[in-house]
Amino acid sequence: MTPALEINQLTGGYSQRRPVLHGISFTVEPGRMTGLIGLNGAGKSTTIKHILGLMLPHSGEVRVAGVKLEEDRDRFRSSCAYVPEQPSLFPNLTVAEHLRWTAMAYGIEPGEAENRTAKLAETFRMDKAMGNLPDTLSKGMKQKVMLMNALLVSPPLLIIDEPFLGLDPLATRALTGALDDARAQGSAILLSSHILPALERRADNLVVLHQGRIIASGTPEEVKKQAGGAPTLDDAFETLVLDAEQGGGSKLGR
Amino acid sequence: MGANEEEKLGELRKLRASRAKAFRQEIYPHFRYVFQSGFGLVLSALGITLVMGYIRTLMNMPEDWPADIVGWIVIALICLYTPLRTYFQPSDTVFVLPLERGVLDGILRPLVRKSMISSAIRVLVAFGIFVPLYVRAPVTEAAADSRSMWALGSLLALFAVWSVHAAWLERRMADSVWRIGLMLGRWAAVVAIVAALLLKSFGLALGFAVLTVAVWYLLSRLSPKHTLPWDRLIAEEGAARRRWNRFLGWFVDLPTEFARPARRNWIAWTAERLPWRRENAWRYLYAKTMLRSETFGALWRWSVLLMLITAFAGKPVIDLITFVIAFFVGGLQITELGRVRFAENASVVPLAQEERGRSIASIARVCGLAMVVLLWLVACLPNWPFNPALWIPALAVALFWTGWLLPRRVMKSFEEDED
Repeated sequence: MTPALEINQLTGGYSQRRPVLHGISFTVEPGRMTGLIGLNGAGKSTTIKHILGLMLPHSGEVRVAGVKLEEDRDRFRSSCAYVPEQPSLFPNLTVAEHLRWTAMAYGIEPGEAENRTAKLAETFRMDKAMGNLPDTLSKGMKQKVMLMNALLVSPPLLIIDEPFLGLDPLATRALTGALDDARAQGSAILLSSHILPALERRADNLVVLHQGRIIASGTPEEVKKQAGGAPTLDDAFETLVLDAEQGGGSKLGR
Repeated sequence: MGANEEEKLGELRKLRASRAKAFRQEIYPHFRYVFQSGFGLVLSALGITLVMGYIRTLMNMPEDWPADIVGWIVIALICLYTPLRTYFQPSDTVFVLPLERGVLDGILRPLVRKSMISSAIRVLVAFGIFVPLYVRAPVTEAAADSRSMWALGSLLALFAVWSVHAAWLERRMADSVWRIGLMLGRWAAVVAIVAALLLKSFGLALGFAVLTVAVWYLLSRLSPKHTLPWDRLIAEEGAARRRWNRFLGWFVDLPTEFARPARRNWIAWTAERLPWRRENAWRYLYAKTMLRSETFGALWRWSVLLMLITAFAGKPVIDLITFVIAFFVGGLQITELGRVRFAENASVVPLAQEERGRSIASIARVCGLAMVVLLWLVACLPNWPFNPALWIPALAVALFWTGWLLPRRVMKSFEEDED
């Protein structure tokens, strides 16, 4: 089966002379959830920008649903949806119009778009806010709109940066339910988060980044083993980062 | 008040003064463009016309000149105008809240007093201008004879002071239903009392005013009040800034953090008529963006104003000149669409980025053509049967400008900025 995301020996960043990422490789299989974790400045956002095609690799490659951006831009972009950490909505579109625009952009049929929109509005308890412009929404509601847009598309790869920030408990529950549904339908999910207990519970795999290199990866249990059998993911992460800073470098060499 | 609190209060006053100064520095530079746009000329012409009309009316007062209605409306509107610029910001509820008592005594009470004095002066000035008309107009002559102008002026000024105080109490209401109810009550009281003071028996009017004000104060005591209505004052401050923004937006392109989208459901629905196709996604986005933008607001107001001028001018040459100015300047306003930028979420969708320029151009073309057709019809119809030698070439030039040149100009501006 073609991986939803395949990153091979990716080196990249803003400057060719000082790359942020140093030859990282990992894959995300369909229906699986992978957590991307690391300290601030570890390279998570740069990795996401490369996956989205907002930055081009210095070397190595990124494939989404088997294609590279330069091979088939349309299919590449159609195969992933992205929710940034800071909700960035179009100021002049209502919530319903955001979803309509997304459905048009991804080529979803009107009837299907309407059904999915109604379901998402109910799931995220946004029924009454569908006609609102973004300037009347709270930060949490804006984040819900971003998530609804991404889930509406139901693409092979969903990339979500800090999904739980700003959401109330009911919305968090709705999101986890919606992510489970998306996985059940075959979507792969890449989550970037600092909330490690949530990832420990939900992610199938983890990728631990530090200073642009992968210092550990595998299932949460495997990552904990790589950290000398740490009891929790928080402990494992701390051990891995401290080891790497004390000269361990990339434990996995990739 | 302790020395420490006095010092903090001094800092707060300085903070307010610095915010007021920052606001002035933010808006004053735009006035150059406001006056360059011809607004200054229109304002001057309006002022001169009013002064000349005033003198002419005084010298030759028509039998049916409606001094009763004019005086009533002008003075009531002035009494209803009760602004309070606090320059409060949302962060004040965190950082300034602990000094609430000091803010109330040291800043807001003096502000309310200042607002009362300003309102009284405004009413006295307006009344002073109105008095000569009031005493000479046949419809108000008898009423004017039956009361002392000094007493009437003083009472109207006092009433304006009450309106400011009542507006302050309304702002303090904890319950919004009560606040709105009292505000409507004050408006009704102002309209009725000003009419009574100017036109009815003076003694009865005075009694009515005292009774109405007393009832209003009694009602205002029935509902709990905030000591300092932070949220209301912050919201009013935001609204005041938006009003300035809207006014300046008629003439200049303001920075985006200043502008706020307008819903404009009456026109925004037209974007829904675009066929549901991927190729139309950019058009849909730019159409909604345009229709709810301040640029469209400015274009719409501009077009309506010039349509009114052409509708009432009644002279073909003036109509033609107005039409040409209207479509040319309106077209220039539409070019602002080329400067619209979106966040990165617009860059990661599966849509060809190079289509954006063409979509912007097509929305600009539709807006421009719609404006031209409306302007042309309004300019032509009063001159019916119209002169084809005049109006057909004018239409052709307008269509060439908005249908061909303008979209290219918008696309070029977008592509240059993208590069």
